[in-house]
Amino acid sequence: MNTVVCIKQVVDTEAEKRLQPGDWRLDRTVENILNPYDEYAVEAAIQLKEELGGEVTVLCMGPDEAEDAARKALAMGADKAVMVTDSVLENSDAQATAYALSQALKTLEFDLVLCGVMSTDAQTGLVPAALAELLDLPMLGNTSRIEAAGDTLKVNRQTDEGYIAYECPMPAVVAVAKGINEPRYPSIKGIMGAKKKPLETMSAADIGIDTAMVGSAGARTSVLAATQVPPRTAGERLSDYGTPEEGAAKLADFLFDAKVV
Amino acid sequence: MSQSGILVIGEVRGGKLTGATLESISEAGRLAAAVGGDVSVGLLGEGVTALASAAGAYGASTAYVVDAAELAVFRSCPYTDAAMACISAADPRVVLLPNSADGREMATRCAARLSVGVVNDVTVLEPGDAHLRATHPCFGGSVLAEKECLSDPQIFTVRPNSFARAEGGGDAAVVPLTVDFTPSGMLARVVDVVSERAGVLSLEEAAIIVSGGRGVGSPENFAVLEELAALLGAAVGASRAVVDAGWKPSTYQVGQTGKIVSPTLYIACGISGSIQHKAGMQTSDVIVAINKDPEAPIFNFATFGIVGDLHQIVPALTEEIRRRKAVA
Amino acid sequence: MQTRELLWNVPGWAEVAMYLGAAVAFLMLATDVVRRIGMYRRGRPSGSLGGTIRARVCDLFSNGLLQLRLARDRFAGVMHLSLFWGFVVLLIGTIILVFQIDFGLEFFYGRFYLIFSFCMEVAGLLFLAGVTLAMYRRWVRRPDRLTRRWDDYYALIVLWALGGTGFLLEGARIAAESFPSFERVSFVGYSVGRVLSVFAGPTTLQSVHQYDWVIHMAMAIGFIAIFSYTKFLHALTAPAGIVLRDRRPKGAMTFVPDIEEVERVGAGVITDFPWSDLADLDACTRCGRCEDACPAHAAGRPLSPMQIVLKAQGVMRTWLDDNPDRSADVAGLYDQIDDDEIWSCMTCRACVEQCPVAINQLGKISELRRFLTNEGRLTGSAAKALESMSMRGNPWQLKQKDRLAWATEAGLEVPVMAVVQDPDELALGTEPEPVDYLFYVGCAGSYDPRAQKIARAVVRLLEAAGVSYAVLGEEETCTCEAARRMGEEMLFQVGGNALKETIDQYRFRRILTMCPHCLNTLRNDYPQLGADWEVVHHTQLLVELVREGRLSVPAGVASAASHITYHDSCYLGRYNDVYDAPRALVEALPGAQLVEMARRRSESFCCGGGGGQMWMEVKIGEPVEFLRAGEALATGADVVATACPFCKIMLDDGRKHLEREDVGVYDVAELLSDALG
Repeated sequence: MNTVVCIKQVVDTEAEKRLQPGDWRLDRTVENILNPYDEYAVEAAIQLKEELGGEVTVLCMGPDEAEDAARKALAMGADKAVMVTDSVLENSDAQATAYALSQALKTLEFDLVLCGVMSTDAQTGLVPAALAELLDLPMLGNTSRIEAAGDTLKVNRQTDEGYIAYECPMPAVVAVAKGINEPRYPSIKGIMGAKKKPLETMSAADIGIDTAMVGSAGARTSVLAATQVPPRTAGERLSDYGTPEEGAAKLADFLFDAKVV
Repeated sequence: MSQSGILVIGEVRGGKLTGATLESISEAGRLAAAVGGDVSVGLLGEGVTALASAAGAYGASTAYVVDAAELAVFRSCPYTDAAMACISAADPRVVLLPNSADGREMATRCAARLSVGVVNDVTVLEPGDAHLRATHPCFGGSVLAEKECLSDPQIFTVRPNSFARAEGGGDAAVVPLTVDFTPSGMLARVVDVVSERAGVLSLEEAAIIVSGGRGVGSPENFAVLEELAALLGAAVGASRAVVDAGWKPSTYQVGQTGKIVSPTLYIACGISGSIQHKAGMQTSDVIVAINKDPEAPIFNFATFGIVGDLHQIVPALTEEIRRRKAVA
Repeated sequence: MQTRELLWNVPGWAEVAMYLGAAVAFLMLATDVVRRIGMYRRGRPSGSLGGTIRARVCDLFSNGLLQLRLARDRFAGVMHLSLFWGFVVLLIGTIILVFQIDFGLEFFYGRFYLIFSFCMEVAGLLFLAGVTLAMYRRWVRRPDRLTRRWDDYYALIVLWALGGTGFLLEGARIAAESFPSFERVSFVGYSVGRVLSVFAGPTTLQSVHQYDWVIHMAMAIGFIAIFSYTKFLHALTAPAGIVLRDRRPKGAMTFVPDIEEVERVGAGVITDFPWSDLADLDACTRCGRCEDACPAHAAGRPLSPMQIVLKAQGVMRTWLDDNPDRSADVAGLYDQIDDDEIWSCMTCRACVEQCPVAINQLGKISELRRFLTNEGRLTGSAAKALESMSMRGNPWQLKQKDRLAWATEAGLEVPVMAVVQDPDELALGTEPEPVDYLFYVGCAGSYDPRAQKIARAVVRLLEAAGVSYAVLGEEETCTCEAARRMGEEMLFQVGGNALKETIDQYRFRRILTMCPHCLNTLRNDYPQLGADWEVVHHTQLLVELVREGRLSVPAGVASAASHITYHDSCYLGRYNDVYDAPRALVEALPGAQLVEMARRRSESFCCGGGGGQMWMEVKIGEPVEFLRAGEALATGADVVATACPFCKIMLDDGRKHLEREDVGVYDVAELLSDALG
């Protein structure tokens, strides 16, 4: 069973970062990592391969540095990587990214496309559904379990109350939820060893991209402003409040004001 | 044809419209003046026609209903087909959907079919120059981005608890729609629908978590936390000490060696806030700490802390919230 | 004349058979030994094993001849030393006789004969007594850790039979010779003879003697022929192991050079082990002491160091015989060993400490673990900790810039190295401001609230004593010690080199640590990276300061503690032999009375935090810290004193679980700082 995992390299949200005012992009001198949600997808693909055989390809759209993310996935156990890198793709929003990825997927053979549910940077959560739409494939998102038997996928899709079990023929697009598995640790040595695995680069022209659909030209949304939320410090601490009921009332005030209940 | 108005695609749970739907309809009402036109709602599912009146009560003037057996359980493509039918019928300038997995899938697919933009997980909507300004959190919640969709219909998915509900509408005119579902979109087959109580909601996906530590004292005492959780529709979590003591299974554990969670609200009851636990919940939007030890480290990073006995404060809190929600 | 005819009553054919048989038997033994050495040599090179010849000889004396480590178990000591020395004396006696039998020397008469016979008698009796004790223990007392397999039965039965037939021979001969009075020196044989003579006359006894002689000879030859295929192999491999054991600093893990080029890190197949780790596999006598000492085993986890050794031994013996066509590349260790066994290990070193035959169980587990980690078989929270060490310089995904918050948030001003000695100036050759101690705080002390208190206490004590010190502050990064113990060797080398570079910018006399893990790695692992530092633990420095009078604990200050028990940290005690300094500090506390736990010093029981266990989730069994906290509380102490932040955290968790709010767990530095007022 051949799987393509769509991955993205993102900025490490835990590192100190600064926004660049003016174009609202992120200062890229900080650490870049493989999108943590995609790690679950890579692990799921590798587990399916270990059970059923086949090949795992990772597909990544990004600048040259994004190769590091692909290498980490290769170190975890993916067989080959395909990078889509082109200056024409810079500043693409999520929908344009999905378009570019779908064009690349059209050149690859696969039974299953796996993705993480979102990326930790923009957090749009768009790409899996957009891919399915563009490739005219069934899509199952937010899955907490995947099994495959023959040509059929069996997945559990998480809901607020529990889950819904589906069966679906392949090829299909599946987005895996966080916590579906425990991604294996690719040792630093493993990452270095991954340099021997095949990594192919495709340009926009190679996959027939219409430049009007990508980059700034293809943008369907625009960023108007971005503000940094200040870091977490000690907040309010209530010790003198009379009875527990009075304390609870003050706490309830806070919760309703913060609009979290 | 000139587009006008705001269409809210509703979400149904347990035979009723979800809170997020009612909030979106209310918010649509507030924005209708700036956007121009009316507020309509799209009801998708099986046996949902009766919900039109509830939508009307919150301000929808029209309810487009797609009541079909194919929509008994959510599947990405048929639901998108149905949503598209509503959009065609309503021809709105703005479409609001809930920010659930279902909602995001529909929003994305509609946006792709219409070749328009979409912004997900919106917490604030304001009128802008030509289009609405939508705010959504990114970078793990540390940055708030304000975006706009460049053409109509502008599609947004709305985070629950972002807007206030406002009743006082009237009736909604019901417009039934029939949809030709795309055959290729029906390939996925529902095998089983499993419902569990709110108490065992997935920790990683929950918007609210009520979590207990050693201070809870015993497995029986968890009942007060579970009651609060049930009221809030929250998941119940636990610290490592609780799991080690055998009061809760390890699937409940939040922390470095348990689950890493980022809910909107994390209520830590009787949890000291050791570094190992903090690593599991430090990215929560709001952290509330209830602990009788004023020196507990959790107070160093909780948004709101209350020093006191959780066995009294938690039930009091549950009562207080229940009282306020009943009124609202 | 006091003597006896050697080989009396032995028919010619039997004598020939004896020589032939002996030759064959020794040939078989020698061949097997050579074969085994061939097996061991198929392992990887070990490199120099360190130490001096003198140390090796001393070790052989203490543990091979006096068997001191074995004798820690009193019963076993008496039993085995009797058996061993009895046998050795008998063997030497027999060899001495060869000189008369085969080389024509004549000495076996008169006084010599009497003394010789008496000594052999005592030796024989001692030997039989030892074997009897062994039988009693294994088959009557039946402790769990001793097996009852075919070769256990064989070993004791054949020894008893050899001794028994020997005395029978003597008895039959003495009786057949009609009890010469000088033969009373052979008191056992004499008595046996008396008993025999009740049932049979001299001619019958002569026949009995002959039969018995053939039987005894055949058994002895058989015993030697199959010697190395039975448990007796340990008689060769144990002394060899003791002499050849790895004498490099015990706190250091083996270095992997050229790690980027190496195809595989750690041990996945049997030939991945260094030859010294293969050789000692053959020394295991299944005594089970390592298993008994193992905290993971005690807590119900799947690990038994003995089983790891035996499983590896099984793989080795099956795959590495001298058929070179048999590819050892498929001799997978993990066909026999479960991942969970390896993850359970706390690297506490109790197994190595207990082993009477110097097997390095921990070394093998470490190699096995390196394989797992580098093959991507590590998942979960431990993986996250490793990523965090790599990306953020600490295992808890916390911010580098908060590294000094333990001091700043408490309003404590500590000198920072980069401020006291500007690295750029130093690089240009400027004379640095002298700093005596570079205080390496460590990740626990920097970030964990319970450990931060220890760091602050240490600083207060240093200030009170007027010690010249500075910290690295925000430049401080993780030693990656836990990474190395979790098998991530390359991360250790990369992270270690980074830290070493930071430290080497500065000039100082010694490095002070507050954590035994940091101590151990900076002192023992980092020299492999080229570091050349003197590293001390805070208890070592504090005891020096107290003795020099630079820190004086006022006698009149009432300390809250009355009974204090001290928990020996594995990495401070077993790894670095520091047992007395912390105790001296506890005893210096006013009003303090030190109460010791049963398992202390080199036999201390791990708190459960080492070997990366702080970050691993081994869900099987009971948390080790609950067990150890229980032991500490059972002493009746009001205070549990520790010298390691991990021990403090783990034991404190244990104490809370046992709901003992009346007891406190504190580092020795905290207790001392409080006593100073």
